[in-house]
Amino acid sequence: MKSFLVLMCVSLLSPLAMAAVEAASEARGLYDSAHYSEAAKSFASLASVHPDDAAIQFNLANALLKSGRLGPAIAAYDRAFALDPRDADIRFNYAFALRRSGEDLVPPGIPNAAFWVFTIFSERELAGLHWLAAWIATLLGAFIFSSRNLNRRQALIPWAVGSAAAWAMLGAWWMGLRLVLPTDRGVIVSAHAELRHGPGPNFGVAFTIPEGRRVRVMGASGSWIEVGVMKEGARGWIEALAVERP
Amino acid sequence: MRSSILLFLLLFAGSARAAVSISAALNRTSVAIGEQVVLSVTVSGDQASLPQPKLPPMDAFNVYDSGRSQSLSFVNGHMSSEVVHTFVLAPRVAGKHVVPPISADGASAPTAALNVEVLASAPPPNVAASRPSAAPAGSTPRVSSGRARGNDVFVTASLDKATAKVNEQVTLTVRFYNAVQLFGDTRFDPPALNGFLSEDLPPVRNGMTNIEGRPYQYNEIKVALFPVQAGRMSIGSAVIHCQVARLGARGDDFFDRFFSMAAPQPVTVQSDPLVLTVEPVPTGKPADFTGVVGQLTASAQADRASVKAGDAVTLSVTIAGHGNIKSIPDPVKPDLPSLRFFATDSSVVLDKTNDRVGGSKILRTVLVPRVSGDIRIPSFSFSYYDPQRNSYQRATTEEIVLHVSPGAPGVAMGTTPSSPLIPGLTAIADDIRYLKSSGSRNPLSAFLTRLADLGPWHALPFLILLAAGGTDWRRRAAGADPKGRRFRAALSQADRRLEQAALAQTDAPRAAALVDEAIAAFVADKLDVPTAGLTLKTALEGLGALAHPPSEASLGLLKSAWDEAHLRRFAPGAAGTDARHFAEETRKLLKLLDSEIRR
Repeated sequence: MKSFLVLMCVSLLSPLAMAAVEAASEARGLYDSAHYSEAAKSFASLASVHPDDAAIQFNLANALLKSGRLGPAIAAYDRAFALDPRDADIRFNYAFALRRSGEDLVPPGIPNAAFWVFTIFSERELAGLHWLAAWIATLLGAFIFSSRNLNRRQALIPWAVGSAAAWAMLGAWWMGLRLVLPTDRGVIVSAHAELRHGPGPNFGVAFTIPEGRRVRVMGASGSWIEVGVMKEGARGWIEALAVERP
Repeated sequence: MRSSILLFLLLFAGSARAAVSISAALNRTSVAIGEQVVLSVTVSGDQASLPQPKLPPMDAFNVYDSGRSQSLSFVNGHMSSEVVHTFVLAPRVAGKHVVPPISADGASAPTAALNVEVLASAPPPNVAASRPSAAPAGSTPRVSSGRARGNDVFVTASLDKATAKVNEQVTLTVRFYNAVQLFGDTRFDPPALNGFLSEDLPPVRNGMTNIEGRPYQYNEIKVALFPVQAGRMSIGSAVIHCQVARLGARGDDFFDRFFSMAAPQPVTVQSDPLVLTVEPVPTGKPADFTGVVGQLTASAQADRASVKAGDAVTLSVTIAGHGNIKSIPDPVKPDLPSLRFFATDSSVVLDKTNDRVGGSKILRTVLVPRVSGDIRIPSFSFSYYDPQRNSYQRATTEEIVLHVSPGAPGVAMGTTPSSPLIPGLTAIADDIRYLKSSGSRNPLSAFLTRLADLGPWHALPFLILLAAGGTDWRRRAAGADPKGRRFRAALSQADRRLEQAALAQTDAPRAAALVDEAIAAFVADKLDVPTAGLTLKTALEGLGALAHPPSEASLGLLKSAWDEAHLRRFAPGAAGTDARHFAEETRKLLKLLDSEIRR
C-alpha cells in the first residue's frame, strides 16, 4: 500500500519536475550559446516559479550581466546573496558586478568585519535559528513549570536561561543583518537615471546616477520615489520604474 | 667605449629624425580662377602624437583648413601613426605658382615644392565666378540685411532660415558689393557670433552682377553656424574697411578717373545685425541623446575577421552624414573581459559640398583578444535629432564577430600579467563565474528555512508555556491556603458522593449512607473540622456561628435532609425509596448553602 502511494506521488509530481528540469536545461543551453537575453528570459520565468532558489537567481543575474543589463543583474545578485550569502560564487559575481557600477560588496559606512559576520546566515536561516531558540527556551520553561521534581527543575533552569539568551542574541543579530541588508534597499535599473529635487518632471534634475548603483528607498509620491544614494550620501526623487527592489 | 656611445647617439639621433616624415600632394595641377585645388599633407611616424605641418605663406591662394584624419596601426608590436591634413586652395591670381615646401617639427625633411598652373577664367555676367551657391536658384534668404542699394560699396548679410533647432546648421552669407575700383588692402571684420559654433565654407566666391542697372563686383563669404542654445540669437554686423575711387566726383573721362584714383578715399561699410530664432529640440528625447543634430549613419568594421590571441586588431567605427560632425561623442567601449582595449583615436574628415557641413568621424581602437574562440563585439548605437524628419533617429552599427585562434604561449595579455595569482598561472581576464545547479542546499539550511516558514505554529510553544505557568500558579496558590482550598472544594467533593448515591438506588441503605456522608463532609469542609464526630447539632451551631451564615430556612432544610438521610440509612422501611430523587434534592440544597456561605 505504502509503495503504491509513493508511486502515485512520483507519477503525479514527475511531469512538473521534468518540466522544470527541461526549462533549466534550455536556459543553460541558451547561455552556453551566448544568447544571453533569451537565457535571461528563461531564467526569469524559472525564478518566478522558484523565487527562493538562490542558484536560479544567480543564473538569472549572470545572464542579465552578460546581456549588458547591469542594473537588473545587480538586483538579481542581491536576491541570490540574500538567499545564500555564504556561497562563494554568488559573492564573487555580486562583487564583480558591483565594481562595474563603482561600488564594493560591503556597503559604505559598514565595517568589513560587521558585514562578514552579519552575512554568515541568510535572512531566513537566521529567522529559523531565532525560532529554534524561541521553541527551546519556551518549551524548557513549560517543562520547568509543569515539573514537580525540584531537582529536575534546578537542572533545567540554566539550559532555559541559555536558550533564552541565544534567542535574544539572534534577535540582535537580526538587527545587524537588517543594517547590512536593509529591507528598503533598491537598485537603479535605468541608464543615465536622473534624480530630481521633487516627485515629478517639473522639478529640476539634481544629479544623475549610473545604472546598477544601490540606493535606499526613503519615501514615495505617486509613481515617484525618494531614494538616498548610499555611497555619495545624496538623495533625490526618481521614477519608481527606474528602481528595482530586490 | 666613448666611440661606441657616440655611435649610439648618432644612430639614435638618426632614428629620431627618421621617426617623423612629411609629404604633400595636390589633387590636380591645373586649376582655373574660381575653382579649387585640394592640398593633402601627410605626417607619419612611430608615435601617437604627431606634429602639425607648418604651411608657408601662399600669396597666390586663399588657404582653408578642411580637417584632418588619423590612422593608427600595430604591426608586429610596432606602432605607426599617420595624420592627413587637408587644405583647400582657392587661386587668386592666374599664372604658374608654386606651393613651397612644407615642414613639421621633428620631420627629417620638408616636402617637395609643388607646381600649380592657375588659368584665367572669364566668369559669365550676373553669375558667380566660383562654384554656384548652395541655395536653390530663385530662392531668397529668410533673414537678410544690408546697406541701401545704389552705393558704390555695400555689405549684405543673410541667413538661409529664420528659425532653427539647437545644433542645426544655419548658413550665414556675407556679400561685399563694389561698383568702383578698390585700392590697397581691404579688411574684413567678421560678425560677432556669440552663442554659435562656426565652420567656414570656403572658398570666397566672387563674380559680377547687375543691381538696378549698375554693374557690381561682389565677393561672397559663407559660414555654417551651429547655435548652441535656444532663444533669439543675435549675429553682429560684418564690417568692410576699404579704399575706393570716387568715379562720379570729377567725371567719367579717363583723366578724371586717373586723378581720382590717385586720391583714394577710405570707406567703412557694414551689414545690419541679424536675429535668428533658435528652438530647443522636441521633448521625448532618448536617454542617450547628447545633442547631435543632422542626418547620420554609423558603421563598424575590423581590419580582419580572424586573428590569433594576442595579436592586434583595429576596430573602426565610422559615423558619417550631415551635421556638426565634430560634436559627435566617442562611443562607449564595450565591457568585454576577453578583449584588451588600447587608446581610441578619432579623426574627423569634413565635407562641405553644397555648403552643407558633413563628413565623417572615424574612431579607431586597437584591441587585442586575450582568449581564443568567437568573440562578439556588440553593436554601438547613438541617438540624434533629424530636423528634416522632425524626429529622433538612431544610428546603429552591426555586431562584429572575431574568430580568435589560440596564440603562442605567453602571448595573451592578462589583466595583471606582471603579478600572476599563483606561480605558474597567468591571469588572462576577469569574468563572472559560471552558472550554478539548483538543489544543492545543505540540510541544516533547509531545516532552518522550513522552520522559519512555520508561521502561526510558532505560537504553540508560547501557549504551552502559558498553560504550564498557569497550572503551576494555581498549584502554588492552593498549597499556600489549604483551608480555603477545602472550603472551595466542599461542593465538588459532595457532588461525587451524591452522584454515586444516585447510581446506587437499588441499594437504598448504601445510597442513604452516601448522602449522609456527603452532607457531613460538606459541612465539615465548610467549617474546616474533621468529619468524624460531627453531629447535626454541632454542625448547625458551627454554620450559625459563621461570619456569613446561611439563612434559617436553609438551615432548616439542612436539618430535614440530614434527618431523612439518617432515617433512610438506619430505618430503610420507614422512609421513601426513591434514592435518585433524594440525592438530587440534596444536591440542590448543598448548592444553595454553598452560595449562601461565605468565608
